[in-house]
Amino acid sequence: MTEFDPFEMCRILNEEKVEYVVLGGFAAVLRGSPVTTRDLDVIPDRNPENLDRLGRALNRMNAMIRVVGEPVATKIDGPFIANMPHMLNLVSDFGDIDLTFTPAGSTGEFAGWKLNATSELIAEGLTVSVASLDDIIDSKKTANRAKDHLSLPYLESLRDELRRQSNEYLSNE
Amino acid sequence: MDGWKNPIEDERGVDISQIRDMLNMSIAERAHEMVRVANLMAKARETAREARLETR
Repeated sequence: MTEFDPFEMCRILNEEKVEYVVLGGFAAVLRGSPVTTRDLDVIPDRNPENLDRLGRALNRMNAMIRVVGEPVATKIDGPFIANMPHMLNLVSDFGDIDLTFTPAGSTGEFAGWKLNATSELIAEGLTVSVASLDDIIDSKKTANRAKDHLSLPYLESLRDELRRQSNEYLSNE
Repeated sequence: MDGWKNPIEDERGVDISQIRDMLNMSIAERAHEMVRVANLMAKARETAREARLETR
């Protein structure tokens, strides 16, 4: 069984200077959601140079295409990734990593997600760009999958709690 | 049972104390705690699956 290690995946992405935003379940956890996840969802900038860097990072992770059954080994480089219209699900030495290029919702593609994301320190010396909670909720609502229905109540209650704590803080100022 | 409400849950049925526990941690602590729990759960599932296979 492969240990899920999103820190090492992000460290490699950063070392290769990949432009990306973390979204999905792991981003939700960073924002305060108590719902566990075992994959790392990222939206990369789709410019060709960035996809080349992403390809190098994925090779360092020994990434293979995740399918039902055994993973499929193939050459994953910039042009290969560029040919993927919507998403690419991968398994790596550090767990599952899903690339998404056109997430559901009104945030749009990379530029939209990056606009509302913030840089967060997730481990010593490791800073990543994390999607906003509002964008995560909007995307999950639009995707409307069974697993989104399970996590949405937690995310909406998290948003309420953050607002409540913010109002409480302001009223004490 | 109509109208009964679990006092530790909000109107969505979410135990808000779990969210408060997360918010009391730093972002790095949240990440590490979730990863630790997720890997533990996966290991437990794997152990249970192996045990089932052995008893067949």
